[in-house]
Amino acid sequence: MSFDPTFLAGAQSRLLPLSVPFRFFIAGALFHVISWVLVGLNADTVINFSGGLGFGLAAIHALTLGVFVMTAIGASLQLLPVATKRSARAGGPIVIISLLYMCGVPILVWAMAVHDIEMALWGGVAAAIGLAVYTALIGVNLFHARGLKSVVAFCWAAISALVLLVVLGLLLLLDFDLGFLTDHAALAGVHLIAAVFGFMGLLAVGFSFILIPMFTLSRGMPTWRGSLTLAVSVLAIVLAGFESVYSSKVIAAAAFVAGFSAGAIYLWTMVEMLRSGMRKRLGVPFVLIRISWVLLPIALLLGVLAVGGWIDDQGWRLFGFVLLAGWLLSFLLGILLKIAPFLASMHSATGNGRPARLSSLTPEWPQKVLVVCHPLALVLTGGGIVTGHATWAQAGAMVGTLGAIAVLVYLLEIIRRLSAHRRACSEP
Amino acid sequence: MPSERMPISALLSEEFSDVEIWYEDDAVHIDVSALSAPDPLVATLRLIERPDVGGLIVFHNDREPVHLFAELLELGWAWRVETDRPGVFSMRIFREPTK
Repeated sequence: MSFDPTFLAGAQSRLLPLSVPFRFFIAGALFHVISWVLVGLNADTVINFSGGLGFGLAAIHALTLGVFVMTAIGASLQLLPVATKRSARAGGPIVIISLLYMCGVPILVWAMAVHDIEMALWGGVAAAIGLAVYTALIGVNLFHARGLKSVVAFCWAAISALVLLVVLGLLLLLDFDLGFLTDHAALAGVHLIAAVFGFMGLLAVGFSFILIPMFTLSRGMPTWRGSLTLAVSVLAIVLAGFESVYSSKVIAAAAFVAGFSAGAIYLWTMVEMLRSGMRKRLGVPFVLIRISWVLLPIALLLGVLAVGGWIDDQGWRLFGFVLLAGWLLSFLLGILLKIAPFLASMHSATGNGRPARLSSLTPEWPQKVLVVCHPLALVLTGGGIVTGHATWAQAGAMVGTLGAIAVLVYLLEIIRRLSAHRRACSEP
Repeated sequence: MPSERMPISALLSEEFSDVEIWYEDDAVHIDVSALSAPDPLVATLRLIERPDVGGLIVFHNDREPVHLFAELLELGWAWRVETDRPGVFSMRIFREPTK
């Protein structure tokens, strides 16, 4: 006898069907492809983006709503109940989130690209309702969570930012049509800060405190370290929001000091986890995660230079690009490469069959393609933004698209291997 | 054999002060129910990696360790669940015989 046929039988209350996280992961991977294609087809517009509807805004939202939020929904719906010792509930709410969010985002992105405000509002409202249901579902889980106080606090802060960014996003869309806002750009700035640093940033940092020790086999950090990181991060985000509205150099300086401090505590903690971790060979995912950690302070530095007026408009664009595609996308891709086979392995045992090994579910070559393509795409597209040469950005987008396709293949291959494993188990 | 509680420092590094580890019936027992994620996983794997724990560990927790199973498989360990009810989970973990 080697394996218990009741493998994870009792865990089912905390495991959603695999189709739930994977539908969001695959949708996120598709939007990853779409984001790069949008950049490639409209490189000149994207590298000169200065706000307003069009392909630049569409590419940004394909990346943020399509890739980041989509993947975060899939991961958090499954990982949070496991971490907080709560039951995971599938059924109605998840169907509503899937339908409304997955339909709303492509409509919104397409409408932004073709300047169709009415269609953008329909897409935006559908996505917003989906996110409202998601927020309620996560909120109930967090409300009853046991333990992991600092991570739970990160999640509360992140979903508060999500509510703010959704409300502001809808207001901004309406303003394109009605023109009632006195300072559209300032609110767009707050929307961006709430999205990038508030929702996605806090979620990335908060989940790092569980996932990085889990992958490196190091101890979780003390609660005070997480609480301090959160407090300083929230201070930085609030100050950055005020700066966007009041355009004050003093507030900007305070925001950056707080932002660098939060980043320093976070990165120091992550480096400690890597050093103390039992597992030293961390593979391709951690190449991407390390890249993201290097690019976080670089992005903040670019922000200082841009706000201080030391670099021109291209510097602002580079700041946004390094923040989104450099820090957040690299981090998310690294985490996705790790958790997707992990979740699949949890669902690999059927009947009396032997569960699948992680290594047998993890395709190697798509990871290798991604780890070459993603950094190269960042360098080429970043170079295109700095020099203003669209051809560089086009080349970057082509390479980025190749990497994005590799992610899609990676996820589909995991599903294929899992199905093959289940079939082999069910054979007499 | 009567149960004998071992000081944590005897079997695992001082990092996991909330873990209980003891010998009972020729097996090392580990109770990680006082820990928050991901420490139950990490503490158990650190114990498994030690050369002096032998080939049988009895794992105790307040819930099934959903992330641990994949790691055990990868390391060539097997398990048999003994208790699985709300708030109580235990299983025997043992090295898979080499084929």
